[in-house]
Amino acid sequence: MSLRVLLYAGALLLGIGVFARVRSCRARQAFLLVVSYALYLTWGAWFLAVLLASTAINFLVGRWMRRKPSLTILWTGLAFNLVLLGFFKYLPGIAVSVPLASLQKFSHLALPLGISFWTFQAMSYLLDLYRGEELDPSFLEFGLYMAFFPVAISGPICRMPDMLPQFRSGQAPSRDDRGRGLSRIATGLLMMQVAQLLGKGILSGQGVNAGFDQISGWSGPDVWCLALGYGLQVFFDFAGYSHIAIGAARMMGFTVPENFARPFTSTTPSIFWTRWHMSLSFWIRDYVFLPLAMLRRQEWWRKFCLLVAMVLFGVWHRGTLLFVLFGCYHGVLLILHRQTQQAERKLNWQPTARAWTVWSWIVTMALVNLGWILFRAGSLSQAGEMFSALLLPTSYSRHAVSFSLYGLVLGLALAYAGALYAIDTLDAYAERTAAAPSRSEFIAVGLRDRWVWIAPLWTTACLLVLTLMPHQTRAANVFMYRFF
Amino acid sequence: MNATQTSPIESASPGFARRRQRRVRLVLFLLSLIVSVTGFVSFDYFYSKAILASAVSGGPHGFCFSRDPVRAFAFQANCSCIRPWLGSSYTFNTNSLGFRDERIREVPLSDSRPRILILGDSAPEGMTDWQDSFIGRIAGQFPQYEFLNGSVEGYSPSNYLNTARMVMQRGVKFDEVIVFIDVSDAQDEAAFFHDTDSSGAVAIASGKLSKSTWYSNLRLGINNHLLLTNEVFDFIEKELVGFGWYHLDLGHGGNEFDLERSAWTYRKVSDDEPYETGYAPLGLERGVEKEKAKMDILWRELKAQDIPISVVVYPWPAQLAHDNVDSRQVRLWRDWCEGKCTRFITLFPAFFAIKDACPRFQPGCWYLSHFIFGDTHFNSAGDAVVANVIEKSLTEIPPEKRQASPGLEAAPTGLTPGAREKR
Repeated sequence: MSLRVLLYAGALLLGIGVFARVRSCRARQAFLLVVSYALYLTWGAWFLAVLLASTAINFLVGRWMRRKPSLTILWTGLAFNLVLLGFFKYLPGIAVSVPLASLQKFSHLALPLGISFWTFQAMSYLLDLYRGEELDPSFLEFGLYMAFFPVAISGPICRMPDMLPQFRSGQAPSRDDRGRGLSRIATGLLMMQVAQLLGKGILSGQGVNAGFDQISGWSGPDVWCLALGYGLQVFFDFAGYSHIAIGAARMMGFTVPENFARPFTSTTPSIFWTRWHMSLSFWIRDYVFLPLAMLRRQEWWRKFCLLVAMVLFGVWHRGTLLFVLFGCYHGVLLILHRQTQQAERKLNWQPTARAWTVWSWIVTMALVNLGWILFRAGSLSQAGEMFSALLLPTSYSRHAVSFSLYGLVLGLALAYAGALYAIDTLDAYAERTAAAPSRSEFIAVGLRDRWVWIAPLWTTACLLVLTLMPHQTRAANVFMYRFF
Repeated sequence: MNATQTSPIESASPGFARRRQRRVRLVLFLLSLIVSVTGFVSFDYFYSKAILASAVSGGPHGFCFSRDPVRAFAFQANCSCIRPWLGSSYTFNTNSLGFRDERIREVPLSDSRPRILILGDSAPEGMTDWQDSFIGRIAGQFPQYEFLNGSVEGYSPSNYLNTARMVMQRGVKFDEVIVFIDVSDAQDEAAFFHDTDSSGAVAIASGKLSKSTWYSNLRLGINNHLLLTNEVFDFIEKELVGFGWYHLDLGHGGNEFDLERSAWTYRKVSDDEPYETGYAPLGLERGVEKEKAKMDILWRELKAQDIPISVVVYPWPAQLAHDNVDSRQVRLWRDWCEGKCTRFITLFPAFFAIKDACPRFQPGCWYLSHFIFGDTHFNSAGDAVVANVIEKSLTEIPPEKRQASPGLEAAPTGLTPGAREKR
């Protein structure tokens, strides 16, 4: 366990203790801010300096706008944030690809951790102020909004209207908060371990990472396996992290936005994007797509806005052509879905059959998972090679990826589906028994105090994942979304 | 349920209901635990079966052993195989002499470089890939010398002598002998090997008695059939050893930190029980005398050929846990070396220094970092330490090409010129 993990855990325990005893909002805010800055400092003093500068400037612009809301001030603030983000996030990439001597010195510029997340939070604050939201944070509160340690590194992206009342609340976290928070953290830890297992594989060098980085000459089934495998990997990794962040905040009595809502059960691309990285997709919907779409009423304009919004979604991750293509790909999927819906309306056809839902789910999952190739491929040529393999019928008779990875991806997909089914069944049963209490004490206690029997299952699942992971690469655990 | 009906929980008094609910929770927890453990072990059984089956079919697994009329057992000449060892495996090659080597090769009778014959037990043979073993590392570091590694697991001075004789009888020239004396040699001489005739040929004890407990049997079963469960046990045991709880019985013949084979230097051992729980029939002291006598013969025969001899002693985990830097084994061979050896090297100081450097909260870190877990052999880091010490000695006193003058005898009265003790 790294020292930083211990520091974060210690800070969380300290936070729970302080929030249980201290009622003064000011004291709580000051405590949280100091802890958040201290933890952020462990990533580098330069990073903290950038965060402090961004906090101070955005706070001043916000104050200016509260006094005199104007588009010029808004654009000044947005331009500052976009330049800051562009400078740290995109300039190093441009410096590498553009052979200009004056740019070379920027090629190794370190990306301040979580800059994409807290810069978007700052921009949403300015946009909310411009829209007339009643937001009057103190500098302490604004600093905390930008640096709040459970979410500062990798989200979820919070909004000031949601956070400010919570910062000002003197309420102690309830037992339920602590219990739910802990269970979210436990779930997140397990999911992140599963993501590591997918990346490394059961046998050394036979995971999704090696499948993308060390193999060439993929067959059609290999590409499907890697695409689904990577989709699951990135989901377990980021959704796991989000569970931990949300759980940590909850244990201190804060409710931060959800980031994932079972995206792999989506039956259309539109539904998928209301369930995947929700805090970002809703941000783009509220601050980019809707304002743009309302400028013109024509259908082509809305579709164009959809495309622009999805390209922004892609480029938010990294400023490379592959991420532009990733955004375009999903933009096109959303447009096609809109077209299909319009065609259904025109034909007055309302498919309700279960078979149609299943078919829609299969097509959606296939298309969404193929999109991960653009997200994960190391180069455009690699992505091209993988897509070609998909289209080549003769490639379906062989495989280059190990059978152990096929088994692992399939096994985990089934296990995840099984877990969702079990949760739904239990919830439905709990609802039924709430209406008509069960005569069985076992069932009543089992439904109410689920942790009693889930704890051994969780421990066993963690042990299984940890022991399945090849030992020699166990040290190299890295959270993937930290790089965005 | 109608309005007059109440659930069993509601109908009881509050105190009784609470106690009852606590019991229900406990039963639910235990049931879940049983289901979880059963599920884990069942999955592990089938998973391990598949993994072990694929591992066996994955390459030419074997040991390259053969029977030998003089040494009882030896390696086959020019053999190549993959040897399994405690959950991992390594490539193993022998040369035309039946010695472990980097690759299969014909060993010429002579070489233009000074040639060093290594004699010893499993430690210098190396239970890892050639390039990670300490002899492999030293050979890689000193290409100006040729190393013939005559070490074979289970050997002791009787067979060090027989191996050296075999090499000389074949007419293979060498310029120095380095003997790695193992702490288990005393037991091997006392209880495992016995001379079949006056030629020095040996036979081995017919039976092997090992003390097993229910835990060692369980542990061995887990080790052999449940790879994932073994990982869990390994993790817990590693933590315990790290905290300084020197007890590790994985079913390989007892507690790795107090094996009868290595205990004679710091506690009384059994002279009555046979191999490998005791030192019968000869007993410890006669076993020690026998190994010294065999080494005396080896020294005399080498001296007759003007071939210098060196001795290296190294610690087992038990000695590092319970003994000290001036162990009886060190004193014994330092005294023996007086007047005989070109170099006497003890690795006890180097390994005790590593032990002393462990933090207070993890006093057993030396074992985890320098030994194969669950074994008495050095791991790659341990091999690197051994190689480093030997390399220093080879740099300070470089082996020389011997002039072909059979029969030339020197008559040293003390340590030979230039010899020094390495600490």
